[in-house]
Amino acid sequence: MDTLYLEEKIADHARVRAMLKRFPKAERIACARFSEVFNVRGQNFRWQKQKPSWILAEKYGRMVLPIPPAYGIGSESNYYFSHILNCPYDCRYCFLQGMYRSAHQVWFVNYEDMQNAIDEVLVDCPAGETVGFFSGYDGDSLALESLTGFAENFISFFEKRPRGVLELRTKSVNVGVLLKRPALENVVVAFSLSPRPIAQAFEHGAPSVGSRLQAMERVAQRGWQIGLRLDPLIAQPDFKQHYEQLVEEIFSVIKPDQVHSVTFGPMRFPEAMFERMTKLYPEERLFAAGFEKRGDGLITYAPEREGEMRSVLQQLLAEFLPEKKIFDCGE
Amino acid sequence: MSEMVKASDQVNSVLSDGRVAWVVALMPEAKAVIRHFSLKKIKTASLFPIYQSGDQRVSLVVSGMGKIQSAAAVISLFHELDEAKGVAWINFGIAGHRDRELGELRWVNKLQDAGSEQKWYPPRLYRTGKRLASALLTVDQPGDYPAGDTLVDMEASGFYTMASRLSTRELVQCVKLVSDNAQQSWRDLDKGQVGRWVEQHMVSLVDFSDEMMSLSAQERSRCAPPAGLAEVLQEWRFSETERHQLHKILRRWQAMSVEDTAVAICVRNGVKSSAEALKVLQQELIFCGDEAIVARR
Repeated sequence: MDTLYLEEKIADHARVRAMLKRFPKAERIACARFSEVFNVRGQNFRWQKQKPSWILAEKYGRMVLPIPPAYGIGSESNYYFSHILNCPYDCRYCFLQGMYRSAHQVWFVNYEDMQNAIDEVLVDCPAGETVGFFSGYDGDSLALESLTGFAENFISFFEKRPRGVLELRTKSVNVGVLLKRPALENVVVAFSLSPRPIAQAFEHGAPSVGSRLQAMERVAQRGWQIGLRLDPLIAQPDFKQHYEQLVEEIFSVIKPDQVHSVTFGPMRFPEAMFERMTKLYPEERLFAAGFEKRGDGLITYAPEREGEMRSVLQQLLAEFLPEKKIFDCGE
Repeated sequence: MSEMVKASDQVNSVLSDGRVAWVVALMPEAKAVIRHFSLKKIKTASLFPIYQSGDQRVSLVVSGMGKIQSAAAVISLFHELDEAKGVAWINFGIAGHRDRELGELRWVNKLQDAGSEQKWYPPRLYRTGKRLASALLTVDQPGDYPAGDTLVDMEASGFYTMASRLSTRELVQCVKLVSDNAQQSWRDLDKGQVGRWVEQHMVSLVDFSDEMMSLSAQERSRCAPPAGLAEVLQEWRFSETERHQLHKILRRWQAMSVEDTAVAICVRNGVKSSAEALKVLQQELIFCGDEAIVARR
């Protein structure tokens, strides 16, 4: 990291001071709001991704937001919150590259404010109901743990709030924080996985599928509930064979009863987002063939292709898991 | 290894496609750049003197002082460039600094216009390393030096406002040479000395220019029209909407590495109109199929 943008008003925040201590040589550039750097038009996500800077910021406004209805994993109500925007990996199918103007890594350091917002949601939800809180929508929950301490902080927070179910979603193998403490029933450690040919072709910079499976095995052995996120499904030659292999590999390292939930859904984007992504990577085959615009404006595969992919996954997963643990997102 | 670093390793192979445009306020700042790149003054109706290399890869405009002049010079040069997409724009020139040493070269990491108070943060994709950076304040009239590590000039905000509308911001950068400070007033500035300072820094400036040229080449490659577009447009008459559709289809076509040319496929299918051409090409993409996505990588 050689450039670090810093909101002036959090310059003295303890997490900021710790970060600056870790990177004493990083050039510090003061800004009033992170959006002055991050949201400006005319930036190129693709080029910035080659050398992203960090932006240390304070989150304000609505910190906890409801997720789309089809994306739950069993709780009565579901929300997401983001301590970071963007991710150290460069998956070619990632919607973040179509959503943000900048590839800089934004880190919101005011965890306590996010936690207050989570408490407010919990107070408002009916007694006896559980509430899902997803932390890995706008970035990877664990990949930057050594710098952000996010998981350590929020696991301790959720330990005292059993009605809240925290999902940590990751492609990383940074699971040390989970291995050094007892597992909690209300934390799901969700690993994003794709068949090896897809991961090799499109998940640039992410740990290999094999090393993710090893990390998952260790986390499961420690007693944590495992989430499997097989999203997005990408049309490919030998689709069924590749997913058979992936599912077999998964259940060779963990037992079905260690799985909290599985989600999957074909690759799909709002049209404007898809357009931005194809403009960033005009040479990318992934975006070039097989898609069509659906009635609801989403760009995705033809209905029969989507149906085939979903059906394959349903059948493969049903061999190992009860129906209630399998969530077909976006159906 | 990053795309950009890979590209900078192979700088010679991609330089030929990039473009760098220098915007400089005064001749004493421009002379050494003009000389190094063997730029020649071009005949133009432009209000500003414009210089260009024989291969048109490097251009320079002398804007005169002030942010409005600088913005106008950017536009003037833009209209002289053959293909202006993905050009790297560099504003180079002298600036004051309260306590930096005279002759220091500084890259700009934050820019503010004193009048509007608007701020910009040029994304720094280039190698930072030894390229030391400061903030920069653009003022309308010389006055007191700003506090902190902040340079002061009279052009950059005008330059940046305009150039960042013409190229992606990663390609728009300002580099300043400290010409005056609290001990040495701008009023005592010696033009000859400015030229000598620029000469001293030419290696750094050329190195930076090469790096920007390389990034420009990548961006121009990304923005390039898909293969076959011109040929298809020549054969049939397309409406604006159809052109847009054709561009999209051919972009996908190119990504899929379809072996036949678009025109050849249209001709083989007896296409007689733009609408038929779009239909045939779209159909051909479906035949390509998503099966090829991974297998042909």
